[in-house]
Amino acid sequence: MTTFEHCKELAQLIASKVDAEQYEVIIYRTTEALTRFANSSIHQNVQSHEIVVHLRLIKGLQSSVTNTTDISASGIDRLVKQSQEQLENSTLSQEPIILPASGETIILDSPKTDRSEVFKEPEYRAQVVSRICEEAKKNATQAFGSFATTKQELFVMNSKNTLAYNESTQAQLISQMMQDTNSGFAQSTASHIQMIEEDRVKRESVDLCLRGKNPRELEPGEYEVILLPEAVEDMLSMVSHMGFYTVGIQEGRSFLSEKMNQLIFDPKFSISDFSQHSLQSDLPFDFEGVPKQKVELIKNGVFQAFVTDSLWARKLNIPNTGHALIAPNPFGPFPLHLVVESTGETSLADIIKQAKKAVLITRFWYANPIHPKMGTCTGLTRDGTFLVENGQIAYPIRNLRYTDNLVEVLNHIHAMTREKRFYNGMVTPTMYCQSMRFVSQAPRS
Amino acid sequence: MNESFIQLLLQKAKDLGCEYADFRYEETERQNISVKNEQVEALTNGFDKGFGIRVLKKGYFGFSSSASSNEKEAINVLMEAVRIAEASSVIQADPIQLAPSPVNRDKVSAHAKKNPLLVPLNEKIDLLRSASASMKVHNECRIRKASLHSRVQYKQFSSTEGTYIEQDRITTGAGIHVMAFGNQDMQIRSYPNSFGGDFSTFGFEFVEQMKLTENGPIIAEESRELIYAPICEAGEKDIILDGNQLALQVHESIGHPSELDRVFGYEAAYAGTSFLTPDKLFHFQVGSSLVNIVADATIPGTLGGFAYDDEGIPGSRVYLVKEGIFVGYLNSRETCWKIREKPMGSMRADRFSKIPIIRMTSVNLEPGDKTVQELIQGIDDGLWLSGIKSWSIDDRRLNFQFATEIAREIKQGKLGRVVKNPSYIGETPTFWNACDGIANRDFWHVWGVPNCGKGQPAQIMTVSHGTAPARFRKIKVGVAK
Repeated sequence: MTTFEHCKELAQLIASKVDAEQYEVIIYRTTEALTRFANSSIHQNVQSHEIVVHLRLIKGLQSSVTNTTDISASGIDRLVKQSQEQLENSTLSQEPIILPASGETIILDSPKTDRSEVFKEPEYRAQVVSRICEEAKKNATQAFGSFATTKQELFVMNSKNTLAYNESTQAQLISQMMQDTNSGFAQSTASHIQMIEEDRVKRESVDLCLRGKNPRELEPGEYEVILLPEAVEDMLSMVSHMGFYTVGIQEGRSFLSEKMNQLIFDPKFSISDFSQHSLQSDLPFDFEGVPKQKVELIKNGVFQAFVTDSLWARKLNIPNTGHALIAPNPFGPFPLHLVVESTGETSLADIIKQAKKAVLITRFWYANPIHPKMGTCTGLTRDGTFLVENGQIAYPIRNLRYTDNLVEVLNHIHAMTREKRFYNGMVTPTMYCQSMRFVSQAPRS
Repeated sequence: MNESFIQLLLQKAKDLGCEYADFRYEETERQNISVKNEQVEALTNGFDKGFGIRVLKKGYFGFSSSASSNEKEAINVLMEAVRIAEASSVIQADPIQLAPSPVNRDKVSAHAKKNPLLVPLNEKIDLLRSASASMKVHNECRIRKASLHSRVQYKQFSSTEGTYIEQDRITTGAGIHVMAFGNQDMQIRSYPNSFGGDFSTFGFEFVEQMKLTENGPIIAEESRELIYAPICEAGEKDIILDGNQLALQVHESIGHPSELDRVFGYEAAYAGTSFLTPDKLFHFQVGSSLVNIVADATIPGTLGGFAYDDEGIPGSRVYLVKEGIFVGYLNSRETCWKIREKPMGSMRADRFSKIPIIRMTSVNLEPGDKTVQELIQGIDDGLWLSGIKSWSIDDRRLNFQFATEIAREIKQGKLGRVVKNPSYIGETPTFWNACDGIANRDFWHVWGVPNCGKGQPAQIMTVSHGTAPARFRKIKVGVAK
């Protein structure tokens, strides 16, 4: 029996036991493996198998949501019993819940699924880590990082004949090279383990680390910034959390509230939610089983759309874009597959050549919103921060703390690179921005 | 799971050549209720069960887990854990050694008087709706939320060394917050703390004592006042941190850097390292002589408290900072012997499928001898800051910036007007050395923190921090507008 058939059989068993006007069964199954290394040796090596079954029942204006990891016969009976009891005792909601009728989206053989044996092998992960540690040794650095693989299956079935299944895989290699005063970082994330750019990750993390030796001070202030793709992801994840969520936009909590069709960012900046992008992780439908649409949130700097799920689409009388999270949740529909749609033709080398004085940033660390309605945020640079002067990297500098309005940072973009990378669910280029405000510098080691 | 089967499984681990193995089985039942503007926004129930097996073979750990609890699956998972440990040995390194542990056999009951899952649902919803309604005092108070979290857990731990422990634990937490809109602004106030309120291992009686409905109008009034308040000006001021914000300050700038796995680089690529390196132990002045910080898992009812950690080590009370001097770490059996210490019991996993890592217990700033009034009276020009809003600290836990929900000016020893968007910035040792007053035990409270993130794969742990308001001199404020 395939795992799809197993999920379907389990969902049908649950459906046969429930008594409600509408039901929804979500089965989310994951196998995660991770080899973690520090001081150029493996210190943690783990694997987990998880399955979670979510059951949503709806009767008039009453609803219940229950979940379990226990898929034994008694576990399923318990799940159904608890859901029914909760349904009877639940209070009336203001909004009727009408589950979507999306038909079938069954993907049994996704090209973004790695079925190779090595994907599952701890020995393969250990060998890759071993080569990274060797590289560290050759360059008199210490290697830290992780090599992770995840296989996930999502199954959704509801009483409106929605049936959706997808299986996908992801591998991620992170290398951080360290010396006493300096460190460098690089990562590669891909659906197939053989697509992991091991050589690039080794080379870049070592190079950034060695270039970062004896970092100097830089007076806090406003500087041009060159943000490598991982730094852009770190920044845009904050922008997304402060601005791109539909509930926040509708309730006046987002910096995008009441600004539809207005120019918000630099006209060079466009960003979409697009799970089918070639570099993106594969999730063709949402947690209600609705196929995901490409949504152009910002086009040429103009705020022109937000994502929806069945509830918000009906509330606002607009199409359902297929962006539901698992119900119920306070965030509402959310864009999980952001892609910066730059059409830049520049390379990182071109950008560096253009810069008279700019701070080059590998990645950010511990960013946190301060005032979401204004887009204000703080965070620090990490694992390779450099001053670029007169078209070349002049010298490394100590980590800096920024505290700034990120909407303003994205309002003046000089250039973006052609090359993009996938990291933490986002596809991003290198970005060259006119100004970022740094308020302090991390202390010396 | 059946104890005799667990013993067979652990014996099999030995037969497979493992120096050590432990087995952890968990059953967890959860309920989360959230009310928004007097309507139930979310109500979910969940039940998890599963187990994890950790083995040490040829000096390397391997870990695997499963949500299934059948015996055949347990054997497969053991074999997988052994294979993972063997794979690690491709890199030659110093083999992992575990510090000795006493053999413990125990059964531990929960502290709770009232199991929150047994309280009738309508009673809980009525309480939250009433708390939400209590914040409906101005038109500006447009979003009013109340939430209640309940968790009941059974945990079974057994090791090849003969330790066998069963523990029951109940976690209860609740809180309210209000968002006010107006004057082209949005401001938030929370009670008793931000991000879900306050949490403990007491039962529903903990929530009944919170007085949510009585405090709703107070924070609603403050939220409205904030949207029309002046912005906190930048400058250097004496500040008083309220207990809830000080708990976060302890957490980020003392708690995390005291984790010995960080110190040894195990978290370097993800959560970072620590400025509290072993060469500083017993002589580094991390704070003023008033600053005493203990890691204490022994106080009943605290969210970071427990009888045994996930290595079977009893929870303990140890000093991390004594009279301002850095004197101790949070450790594990793998790390403690490297600094010639004994395991103090701080290894925990957030669920059955995760490997235990070093986590804070209840890391508490011990109370001082002042009243809050005395702290205020000692300031000519300063700020009182309360309510966690935003936090950020560098990867060695030195450079930090925090923002709070609200601040009040202090002028000539008296509390004054409200100012909005307050923030402060500093470096950890400089900041703690600027502490010249801590309020006494009457003002001391252990704050439950349910959302401490660390580790890969990511784990969210429950910890806690005992604090009383404290005064810090010449702190840079108002960096973030």
